[in-house]
Amino acid sequence: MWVARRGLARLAALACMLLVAGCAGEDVGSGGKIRIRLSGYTGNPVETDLVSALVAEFNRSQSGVEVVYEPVPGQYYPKILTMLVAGTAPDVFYLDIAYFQPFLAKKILRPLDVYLARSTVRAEQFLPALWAAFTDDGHVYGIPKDFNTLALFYNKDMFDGRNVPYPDATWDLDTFRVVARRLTEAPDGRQYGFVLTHDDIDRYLPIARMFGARLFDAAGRCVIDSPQARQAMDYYAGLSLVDQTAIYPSEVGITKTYDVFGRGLAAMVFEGSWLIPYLRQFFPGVRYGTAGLPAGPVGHSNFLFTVAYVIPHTSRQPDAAWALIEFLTSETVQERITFAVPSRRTASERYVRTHPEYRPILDAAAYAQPYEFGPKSDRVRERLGLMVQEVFLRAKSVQRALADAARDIDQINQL
Amino acid sequence: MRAVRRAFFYAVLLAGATVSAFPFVFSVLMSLREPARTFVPGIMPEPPTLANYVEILRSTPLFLRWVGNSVVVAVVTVLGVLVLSLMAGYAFARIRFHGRSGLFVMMLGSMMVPGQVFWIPNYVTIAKLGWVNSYLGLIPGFVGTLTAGVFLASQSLKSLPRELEEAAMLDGLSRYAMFVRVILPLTGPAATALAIMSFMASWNAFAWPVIVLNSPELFTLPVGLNFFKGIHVTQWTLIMAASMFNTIPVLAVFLVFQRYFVRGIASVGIKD
Amino acid sequence: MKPSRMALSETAAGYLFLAPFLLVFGVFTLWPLLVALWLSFHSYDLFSAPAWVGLENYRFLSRQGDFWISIRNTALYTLVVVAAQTGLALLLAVVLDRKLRGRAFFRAAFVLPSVTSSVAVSLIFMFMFFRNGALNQALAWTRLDAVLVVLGLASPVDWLGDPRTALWAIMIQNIWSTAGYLMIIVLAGLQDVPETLYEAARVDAAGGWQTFRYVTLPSLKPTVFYVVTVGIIGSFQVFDQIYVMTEGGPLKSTLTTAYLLYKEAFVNFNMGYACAIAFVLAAIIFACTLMQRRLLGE
Repeated sequence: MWVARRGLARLAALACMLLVAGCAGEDVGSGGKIRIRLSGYTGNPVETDLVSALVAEFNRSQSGVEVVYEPVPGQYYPKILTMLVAGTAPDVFYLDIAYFQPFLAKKILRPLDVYLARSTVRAEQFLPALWAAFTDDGHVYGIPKDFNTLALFYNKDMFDGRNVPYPDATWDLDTFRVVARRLTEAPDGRQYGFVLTHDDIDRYLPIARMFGARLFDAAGRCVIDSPQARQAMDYYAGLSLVDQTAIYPSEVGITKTYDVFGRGLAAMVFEGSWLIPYLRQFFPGVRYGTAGLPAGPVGHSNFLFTVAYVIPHTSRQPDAAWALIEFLTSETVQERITFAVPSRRTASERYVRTHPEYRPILDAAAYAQPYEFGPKSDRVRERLGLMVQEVFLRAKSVQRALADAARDIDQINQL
Repeated sequence: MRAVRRAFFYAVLLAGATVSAFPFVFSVLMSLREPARTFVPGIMPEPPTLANYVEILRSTPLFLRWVGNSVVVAVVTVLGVLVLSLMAGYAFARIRFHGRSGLFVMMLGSMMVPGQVFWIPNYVTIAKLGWVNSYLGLIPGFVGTLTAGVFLASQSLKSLPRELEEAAMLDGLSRYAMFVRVILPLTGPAATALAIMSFMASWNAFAWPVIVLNSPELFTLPVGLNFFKGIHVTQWTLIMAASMFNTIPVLAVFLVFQRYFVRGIASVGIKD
Repeated sequence: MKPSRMALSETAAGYLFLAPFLLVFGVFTLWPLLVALWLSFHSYDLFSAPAWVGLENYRFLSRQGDFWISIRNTALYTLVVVAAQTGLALLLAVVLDRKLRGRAFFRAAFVLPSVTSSVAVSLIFMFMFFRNGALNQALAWTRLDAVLVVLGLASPVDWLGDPRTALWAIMIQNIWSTAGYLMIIVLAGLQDVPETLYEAARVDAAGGWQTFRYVTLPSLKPTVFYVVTVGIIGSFQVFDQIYVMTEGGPLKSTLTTAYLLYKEAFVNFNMGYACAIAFVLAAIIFACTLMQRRLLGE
């Protein structure tokens, strides 16, 4: 049995060594500096490169704080949540507007008022809608970095081919409908007026608001089954089901609206400015223009997509974290953003002057509604996407689909 | 007449093999397309180009580092799974001990519970051990493979003749020495099967490493290559090229060892 | 009754050899399993303390439409996939067991799908399943699209976008990826069939099919068990393809239980409920495995 005991002893020694080897040092980096971690998602290589460069500059410019940049190349929110639960979350990370309410409800976010009071960062320096999006009950929880809204992209060649004047500020939904008809070749798949999405509410909901509908009423109940919302759905789905002037991507065997537009299968699409670099890279020959979304009976509406830097309560170095945020959202840094409209007023104006095709994106920020759906954001969004899909696939009538969705969403929010 | 039947037989087999290999061949061809021509219809890239591979190597300076990381992780995983599976498999197969069948059933049963529910408890555990952002933290991701390996090893070792052990015991060898000197040399085929299984699992592992590893320098290859799968933009040709780095090594390992592989599972005999 | 000294030292030896595995298994599988079981009786949103709710999660899941939809989808999926991939594996193995020209080439071709990473496979198939993708083009070229029209589908089919075909598309993809790997396992099992039995069959002038049915198949029973069991366990937990290709849609036609579980845990913050789903699923898998043993007469 002495063999066995020797084996056990060896195992025990190995286990101890592993434990010791695995213990990593925490907050104090080389030379006694404070060490903080920054995290974000990696949708855009240009942005990832810029942030890496900025972090390096920040580290060089001062000697008290060392920042480590840890982008997440996979599912971002599951990882952030897991880290928050286990206490290993970074000190600064990206937060989409859609996740603001859920994170707020779980008391994850640190209010930034204390740091704002001591710094030169002011609300007035930023676009009001963006600042307000991350403020709750008078407290600021995040500093927005950039934003997007939906613009009407149109294919100039296709418009010229049919002698149709380009979209402008006078366009309303009726004009849009007529033009879509003019631009659709006989429905044999050659060319359509408009490409939309049939399984999310990113385009439907702004249109619904243009008819005067709302998602929630003042008491928090879901009112997507209102007569105005029904009208809006009749219009939106009607473009495809009735007029046959609009298609959704998988109908023509493609995954994304960008490709349908890029390939010249549709003359118009509502998209954010993320379409611009995509077209440049994959469809450089397309001559396109941008305009604001057409107005509805009640006026204009749009969605505001934005991301902010936040600090969780679990961060042990909030002062250092704030210093980093201040740097990353400063005027000089924002001037170097090349892939989205920056969040500061002056920076955004300058950006749009050098990139005129982004003008409609900036203009819409004045009235766009934040892309958020309450504390149960993901579930509500998913249920609404299902609702749109039910209509397009003719699984339910418009009335049924909207009513069922409203009822389910109330249940999700437990009202 | 027989010649016709044989020709027909080969034709059908060839058709089947084509269907089977087509998606892979398609992805190879896709990886040779210029990104701007991603959606041009047709199968062959005209003109073929290595631009995607160049782009991957150019835009990810850590690429070779990631390959190295994957190799290190794979080698350690394979060795770990081999040693632990063979030892535990030997115990289940050849040693009568109290609680053997209960333990075996529990082990099998654990494979039936979906792994997602283990993530958070395991992450909390490794956080407490300080194993976050280190390769030790990858261990929980491989326990499933390990369990399957123990299962396979135990089946394989069951079929070895008892006389070997009886003779060894008569010679006065301890269990430990018997295992090393008598049993192990006979596990070649089974060990190869285990090695291939665990290499495949380790090389392609993605979900758990993303959660555990924070520093880009530590990423393994699949994790690093996922930088190309953006939120808004899917760069198809680049992704196909990137996936070749995943697939080709595993394919190579498989092809080299596939002769042993067949014999390896053959020794399983699989009498429950 | 005192255990014999032999038995005691045997037990000690057994646990000694098991020790390293048990350590890893205990910490990283058994412990989380117990935690998950415990959590399944609580309501836990990851950020506040778990609250005891007893059997409420289990009761809720029996009432929730989505859960039953997912079970129905997953059961159909498992049935078709396990049957098809087992059948295909058997067929291919028997065929490729004979001495053939280019046998290694064919084996490699059929195993190729299993060796490719599942994310890459999903992306490739998404491309192929498009309305104007390779699959539809192949069907049109071989005139097989007539079959689709008979089934009431307008060709070309939007495989992943049509609720009637989406799940089947994923089944096709999965059968394609695993049949080859299982073929190898069956091939190995075939090596074990004693040559003497084949000779006896030849002497009795048995035809090909009879030889297969009365000689090959019975000897393969243990192999078939292994393949079917592994198939059941794997199919019931199908997740990767759903996550990459369809996210449970369209209209929940590809919502599987493992995917539902993931969403409940990581999107809806409903950890306790997700754990309940996990254990109900495990119980179903266990029952199916037992049933399979009985059916195939072990």
